[in-house]
Amino acid sequence: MNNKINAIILLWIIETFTLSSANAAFCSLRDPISAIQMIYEQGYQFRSVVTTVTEEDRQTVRQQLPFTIHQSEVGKHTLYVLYKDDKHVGFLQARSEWAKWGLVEIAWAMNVDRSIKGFYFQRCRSPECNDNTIQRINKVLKGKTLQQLKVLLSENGEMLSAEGKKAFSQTPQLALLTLRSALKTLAITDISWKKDIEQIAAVNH
Amino acid sequence: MYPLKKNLITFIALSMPCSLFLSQTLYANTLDSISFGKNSRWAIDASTRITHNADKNKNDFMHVIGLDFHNIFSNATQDIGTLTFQPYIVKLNNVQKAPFIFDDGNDTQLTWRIANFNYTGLNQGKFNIRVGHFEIPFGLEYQIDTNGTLRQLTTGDRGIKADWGLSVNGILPNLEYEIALTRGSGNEIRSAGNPHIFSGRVGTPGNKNLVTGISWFTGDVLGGNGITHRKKIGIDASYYYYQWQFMFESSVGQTAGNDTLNAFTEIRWKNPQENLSSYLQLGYQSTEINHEVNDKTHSTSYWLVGIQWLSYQGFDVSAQYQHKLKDTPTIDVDPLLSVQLRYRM
Repeated sequence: MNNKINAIILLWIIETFTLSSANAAFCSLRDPISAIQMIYEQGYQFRSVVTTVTEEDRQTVRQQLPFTIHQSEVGKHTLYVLYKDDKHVGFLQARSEWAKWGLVEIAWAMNVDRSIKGFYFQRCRSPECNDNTIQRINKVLKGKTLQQLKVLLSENGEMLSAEGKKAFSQTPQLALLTLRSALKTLAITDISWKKDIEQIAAVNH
Repeated sequence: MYPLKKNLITFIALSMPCSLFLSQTLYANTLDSISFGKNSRWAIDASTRITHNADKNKNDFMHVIGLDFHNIFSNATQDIGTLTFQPYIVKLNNVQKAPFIFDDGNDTQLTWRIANFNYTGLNQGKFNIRVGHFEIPFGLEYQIDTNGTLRQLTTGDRGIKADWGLSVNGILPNLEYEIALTRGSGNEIRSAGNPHIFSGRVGTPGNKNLVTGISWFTGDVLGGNGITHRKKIGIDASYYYYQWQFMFESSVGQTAGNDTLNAFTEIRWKNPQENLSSYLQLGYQSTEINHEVNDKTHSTSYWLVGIQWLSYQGFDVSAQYQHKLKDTPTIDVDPLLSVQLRYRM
C-alpha cells in the first residue's frame, strides 16, 4: 500500500516538475499597444484571444517547417484580432526569439488571409534593430504567405537560401532570425487558433 | 477585525467601481459576445526565503503562497479591461524588523500584491482607468516587475510599494504614463490620519533600448509610526545593450520636513537564454537629521550583488548580499545575505 502511495506521489511530482510554467508574474504581461499603433495607426480596435499551445501543436509545426517552436512555449498565448469599423481586418501576435544577445520580441501583423502585413521589434537589445533595418526586412516580407516565405530559407531552415541571401544582403543574421520567426508565427496561428479563426471568418461573412 | 477578513472587505469595496464599469460595458454590448474564462491565466506561486544578518548573527524566514490570476474581458470586437488578482498568504518566522502590517515577526497575514481592474475599453490603450491595488507609479520600480523577488530597486526610499486607489494610464506613440491617487496605507485601506498619495510617472516608450522618465510622489504615507509626509521628484533612465542593462534613478524631496536626496544605480547581466542573471546595485541616501533643530545631514550608502536562476519548469532560485559602504548612527545598513527558492505552477 505504501509503495503505491509513494509511486503516485512520485508520478505527481515528476509530472508537476516537467510541466512548463512561466516564471514571470501575470502582472508583467503587456499588450502590444506600441506595435498596434505603429503598424495599424488610427481607427483600429483589437480583442485578445487566449489559447493553449500544446505539445501536439508544436509537433504539427515541425511537419510544416524544418524547425518548431521551443518547448518552453507550450502554454497559454494571446492572438490579437484587429477590427476596423467592426470588420475583421487582421491578426497580431507577439513572439520571442533567442538571439546570441538575448530574447528578441517581435510583434507580427497578419492579414486576414494570413499573409504578412508587417512587424515591429517590441524588444531587441541590439543596435542593429533600428528603423532602417525594420523597413528593409519588412519590404521583403510584406504580403508573403508561409509558402512564399519558405522559399527564402534553406531546406534545413538553418540559413538563407540563395534567393534569401539576395533579398537580405544587409544584416543577414537578423533577417534570418526574423524570417524564422515569421514562419513560426504563421504556422502556429493556423494550428493553435484554428477554431477561433474559423469562427471569426464565419461571423465576418 | 480579523486581518484576513478585513483584507477581503477591502478588496470587495475597491472592486465595486470596476464592477460598475464592467456592468455598464456589458449593458452596452450584448452579453453573448463577452468572453470570460477563456482569456484567463492562473498560477500558484510559492516561495521561501531566509535572510541572514551577519552582524547580529540572526536568521529571518519568510514563507509565501499565493494565487496569480489574470483575465482579459472582451466583447465582440475589442478588449474591455484586464483583471489582475494576486492574494498571497505571508508567514513570517523570527523576523527582527517586521513590516508594520504584521503584528510581530512571527505573524501570518493575507497580503495583496496586485489586485486591480484596468479598464482599457476607452481608447485602445491610450487612456485607461485602473481601480484597485497597484504599484505606485514612480521611477524604475514601476517599470520592472519585482513582486516576490529578492531583487528590489528603490521602493525603500518611499516607504510604500503598492497602494489602493485609482489611476489613469496609457501608451501613446512616444510616451507612456500613469498618474495615480491612492489611499497611502499600502496593503490595507486604513483611514487613520487620512493618508493619501498623489504620484505619477511620464516616460519614453518602455520597449526601446533607452528609456527615460520623470516621476513625482507627494502625500502622507501610513507606516508603523503613524503618518509621515513625503514628497519627491525623480528622474530615471535605463539603457539596454545586448545582454547588459544599466539603470539609474535619482530623486530629491522631503521626508517629515527633512530634505532628502537619493541615488540608485544597477548594472545587470543576463545570459542569452535569459534564465540566468546577475546584478550589482549601489545606493546612496542623504537625509537632514532634524531641520528644526540643526542643519546636520547624514548620508548612507550600500552595495549589493545578486544572482537569479530560472528553470523552464517554474523554479526560481536567487541569492543576494548587501553590505554598507557608509552608515550613520541613525540609519543602520546591516550586512544581509538572502536566499530564496520560488516555484510557480
